[in-house]
Amino acid sequence: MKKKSIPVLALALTGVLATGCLAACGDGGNDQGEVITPETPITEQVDINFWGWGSPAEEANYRTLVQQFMAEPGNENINVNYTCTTGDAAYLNKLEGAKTNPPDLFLLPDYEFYGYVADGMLRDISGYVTDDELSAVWPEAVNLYYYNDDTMLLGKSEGAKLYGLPKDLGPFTLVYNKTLLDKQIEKNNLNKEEIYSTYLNPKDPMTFEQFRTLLKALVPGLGADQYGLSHYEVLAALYSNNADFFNAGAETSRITEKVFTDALQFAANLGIPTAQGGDGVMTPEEKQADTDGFTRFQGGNIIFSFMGPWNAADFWSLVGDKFKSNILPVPYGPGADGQYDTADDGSSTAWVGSMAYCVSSNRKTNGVKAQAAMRLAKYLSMNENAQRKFYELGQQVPNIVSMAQNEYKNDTQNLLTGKDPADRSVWLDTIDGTSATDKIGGKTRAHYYTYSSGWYTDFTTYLGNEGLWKGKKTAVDICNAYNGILQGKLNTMREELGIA
Amino acid sequence: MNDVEITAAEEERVAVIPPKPQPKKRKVSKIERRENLIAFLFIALPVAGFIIFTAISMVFTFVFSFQDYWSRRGVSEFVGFKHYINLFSGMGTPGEVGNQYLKSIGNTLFLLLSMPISLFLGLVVAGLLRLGDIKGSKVYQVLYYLPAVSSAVALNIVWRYIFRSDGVLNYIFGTETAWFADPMLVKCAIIIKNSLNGMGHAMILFLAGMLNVPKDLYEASSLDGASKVRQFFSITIPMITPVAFYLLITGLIGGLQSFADSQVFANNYSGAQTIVHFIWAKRTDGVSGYGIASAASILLSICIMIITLIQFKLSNKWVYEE
Repeated sequence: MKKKSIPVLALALTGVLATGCLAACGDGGNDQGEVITPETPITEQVDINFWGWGSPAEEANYRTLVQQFMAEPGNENINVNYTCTTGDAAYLNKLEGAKTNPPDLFLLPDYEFYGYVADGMLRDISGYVTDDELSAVWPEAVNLYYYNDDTMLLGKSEGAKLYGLPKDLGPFTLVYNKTLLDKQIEKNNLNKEEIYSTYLNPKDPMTFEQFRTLLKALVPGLGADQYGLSHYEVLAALYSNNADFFNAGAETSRITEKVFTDALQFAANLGIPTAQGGDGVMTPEEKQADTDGFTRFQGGNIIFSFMGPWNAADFWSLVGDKFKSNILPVPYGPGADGQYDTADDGSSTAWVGSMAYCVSSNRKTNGVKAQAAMRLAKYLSMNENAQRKFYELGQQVPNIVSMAQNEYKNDTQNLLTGKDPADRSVWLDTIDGTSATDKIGGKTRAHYYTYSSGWYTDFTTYLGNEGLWKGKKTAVDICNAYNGILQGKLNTMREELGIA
Repeated sequence: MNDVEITAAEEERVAVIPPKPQPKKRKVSKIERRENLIAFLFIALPVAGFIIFTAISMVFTFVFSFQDYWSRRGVSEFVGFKHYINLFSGMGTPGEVGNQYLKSIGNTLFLLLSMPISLFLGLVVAGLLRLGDIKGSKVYQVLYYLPAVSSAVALNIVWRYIFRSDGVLNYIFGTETAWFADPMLVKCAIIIKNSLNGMGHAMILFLAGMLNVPKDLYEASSLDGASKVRQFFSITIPMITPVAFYLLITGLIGGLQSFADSQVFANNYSGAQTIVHFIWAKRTDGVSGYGIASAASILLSICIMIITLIQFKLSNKWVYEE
């Protein structure tokens, strides 16, 4: 061998190694053509990967359910490899990175659905589930995961196909520490009966003003590092004051409307110290930077916070008997005309989050793998035993409407005896109340309606940077300054999607 | 072009120049060839790693900086210098990409202050340990060096507990300083943290450098009546300038690539966003995200290269060489 040929050979070897490694990272390609047919017996051994995210308690719940699925008759040949990631950002980052080799089945938050479905990452599962089966599930949940390839629009419509089965519907409502609340009522010589009947009525939500008044009455005498309210959910304030970020179709920004800025200012004032003209009843921003609101609440140092059904498992294990708690509909604002007693009233509207079980459109997830993945998705989403186990474990409100409205609400199976919250009807009312006449209702998060969701984080970061929560600038000034930027982002997202 | 006319004299001169002797081809033995091959095979894997994870990534980054990229669709579109222009537009308007980028540059440069502080502290501690007769100096060396061998994430989490409003620092001083809610305070906290973390690393290298200073220099200066302090400034410091230069180069490069400070310690607080955190955060921001992040990466690489080259150029003037 000549000396010159040695480096050439080495280079070639290096090239082969590099190409081999790169080839291993190759794209399996997408396969939207194959429509899943209704399930037939799975006779051969099949391994499927299922990715989810959540707290350790949620992970434990899913492991239980996956084991339960594999033990079901007919599923003996299915082996599910379940992987859980803690934290939404880490999970979504991992999922995005796995686009060439995605898991067969994965959880996808509603606000990422538009991007994934429009980019062809999800399998059309319309042929796998019958309308009868779907009719048993909350329509508000199922309809979120329809998409029309031709019009590129979300929601159930003529020609739209189903691309995901709902994991849940999660209303994020108000929660209160009953033990601390009662203590403060006593300490401040307040009328307990009146407070419970007037302010803490699960069927009759408080107005913004009532909530502010109640907090101001309760806060005196709280201990060091204790507060009336952990934080305020921006969406709860906006939606409950008839405000929104943009019009239908996410075309035009609406953040300069009075209902929008009023709602934001109301939330901000709760945390601004009294010396600066605020109410000083909410954890200041600098304290929230140390420990998030719900963690503080779980520590027993907050009277009011916000909570979704998925928090229940953690709540039961971390709080235990430390204090009693219950949930309430979120307070509502005056609406368009600034009055609480007219037709323009806001209504108590919490944001209702959702996630979907989605099957990958990648070619690697085909044939029996896709069938097994769909079978698991269907089991987790709408199987009666699975749904019962989920609510028993504190994971979610059942997807099956009849189960939720009777068995879950009234605990007819005695699976939730002694477990908070007692007024689970608040969550059901929030999910169910979507008509204009309902005083309690829920709404899908704004970033569900856009091609990408980063704009929402940008907006909330901007609010903090500009000093809204510290009272440095007013909501009006901040929103006026940001309006053009948000409009630009909306335009860009529509262009990127291809519907501009 | 016209043919060049060669005069007779020139022709003669050319003729007398003897031809350049060709180097004799050395015969490569079989063993030598075999050894060379084995050597190349040994480096094949790291070279392949370099090609895949560095060279190709850099080429892709460069290409992406001129493209919009629909990552999930795997589709890209050439957009020219759009992303570079975006990085420098709207710098004065809060919320715009340019403004975020400008702030991240400012934050990164400000946080570089920790480097000279940690070098100074490392030098002082190394000097004390070398010159002073300190009991248990080995224990101190181990303690000071501990942060250098600890996980950056773990360290940041521990430091976060120290700086929290209900943390150790506020408890000791009886204050209620909110280090994580103010852009200036959070940066000061990072500088304090990094200065103390980096001190041990600088100390151990300075100490090693001091041990290599020839003893006869000290002996000769002692005969001339130089005090220990004089020896430190006139002999030790000039002799350890190569170590200082190494620390400066690596410190600057590391500082410009700072990420964990923003993500873990400051918990993604925008007031402490560094350039690399900006790149990391931007990459998922719509179809332009990859492009903007890539453009910022390219600019950062160029800056690091230029700064390093300047440092090497200036090193002739102050770094001791034998």
